[in-house]
Amino acid sequence: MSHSRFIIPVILCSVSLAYFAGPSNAGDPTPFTAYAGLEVARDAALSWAADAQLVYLENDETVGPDGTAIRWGYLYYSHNKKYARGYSVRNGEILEAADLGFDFEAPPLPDTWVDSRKALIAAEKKAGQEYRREHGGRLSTMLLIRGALNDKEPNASTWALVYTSDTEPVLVVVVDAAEGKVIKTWRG
Amino acid sequence: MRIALCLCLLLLSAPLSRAFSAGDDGDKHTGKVVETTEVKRARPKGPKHPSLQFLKDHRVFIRARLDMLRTQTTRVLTDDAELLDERFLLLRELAAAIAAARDTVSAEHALTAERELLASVTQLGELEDQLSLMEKLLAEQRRRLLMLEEDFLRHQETALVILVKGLSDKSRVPDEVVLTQDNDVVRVGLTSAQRQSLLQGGIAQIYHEFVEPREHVFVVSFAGSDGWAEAEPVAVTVAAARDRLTFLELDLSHLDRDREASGLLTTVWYR
Repeated sequence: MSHSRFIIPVILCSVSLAYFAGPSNAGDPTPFTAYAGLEVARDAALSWAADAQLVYLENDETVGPDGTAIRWGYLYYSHNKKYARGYSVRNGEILEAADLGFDFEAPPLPDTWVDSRKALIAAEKKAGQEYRREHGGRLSTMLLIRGALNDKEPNASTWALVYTSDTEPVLVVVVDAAEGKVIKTWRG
Repeated sequence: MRIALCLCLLLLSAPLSRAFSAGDDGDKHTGKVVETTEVKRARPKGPKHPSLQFLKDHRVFIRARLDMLRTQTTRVLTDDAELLDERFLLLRELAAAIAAARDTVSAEHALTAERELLASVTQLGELEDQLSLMEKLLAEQRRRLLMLEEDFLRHQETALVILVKGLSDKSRVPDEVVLTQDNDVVRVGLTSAQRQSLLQGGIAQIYHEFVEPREHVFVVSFAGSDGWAEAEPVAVTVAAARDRLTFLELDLSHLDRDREASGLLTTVWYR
């Protein structure tokens, strides 16, 4: 009897604490911007190949409205090894490291580029927000690459933000990675 | 005379050649790395966490865009003087300080040798001063060592060291430890010196490499003429900490090639 007097308040306290704590756990992965995971990926890549250079990156999990994701993928290319290796970073650690499996000799990305947050803001303002609102769309991919998506300035690096919708063709917004300004958009 | 000399040489050459060949057999592993390539059918293995999915799905489009590019590399050589790493200067200062301390110790040692008997209280005081000086020198040396250690640890890159210990039964010593990770196979032969050391309770380092700071799964197996090839390989997982030295110790003391799980014990620590 005396035990139950103590046990019931303890259980009530635990239940109320669990309720107010919400669904998140301490172990939940923390979202981060693309730039924030770069150092970890670079360290890993340099231990794989001393001449490794970042050539491409994209989100490995859904990008949130603030340009963060809980996992980003970074692709490095080694001229000595003649192949590329990808690193998936989550919670400041390498979650997956794997060779790409096909030839991908892309030009190296520069050391500095605007972060995913700034690129997303620019894309949303230009066309992304409207596309999402009017067509029930969503941002599916953010990728950073040099040369491939800017015909006028092939030396420049660009973010490409790919929006998809069930009813409309895909919207691609290309953002200059040096300035954070939208260069072009296209559908399909 | 010539015939006698030839006979002598012939007699000497036989034991000498035997001695050399015995040396070869005993120490097969001289630390030289021999790399061989074997072609095997790849087993399709999907990643646990798919990564770079967009690139993989649209690789034809992206590669076609890249094919239209031409890269030009320009190298500019400059004669600008570079700043010296201040640690080099510090190391020189440390070396000079150590040399000075050594001189002081030598001088004090000579003084002590000369002093046969403590003739007065004044000389007792001198001895105390001398001891204080030694303590001071020791403290300075300790400080220098700490400084060097801190500098070394600060520049540590991610590396993995694999150690083995715990061989006690002479009849059950494998010839090689085989470490397999993805498609890489590293075969490390235990030299006679290592075996001897292990049997006496020592530890042998079999692997020391820079690695990616992530979780590594090594399949550890053993090779040897005494049935080791049939022993079940053991998967050992070790998370290499970033910019740290990760030690993986394989304890072979409970190793039994006849058991399914061969009793391999592992310990991981970081430095």
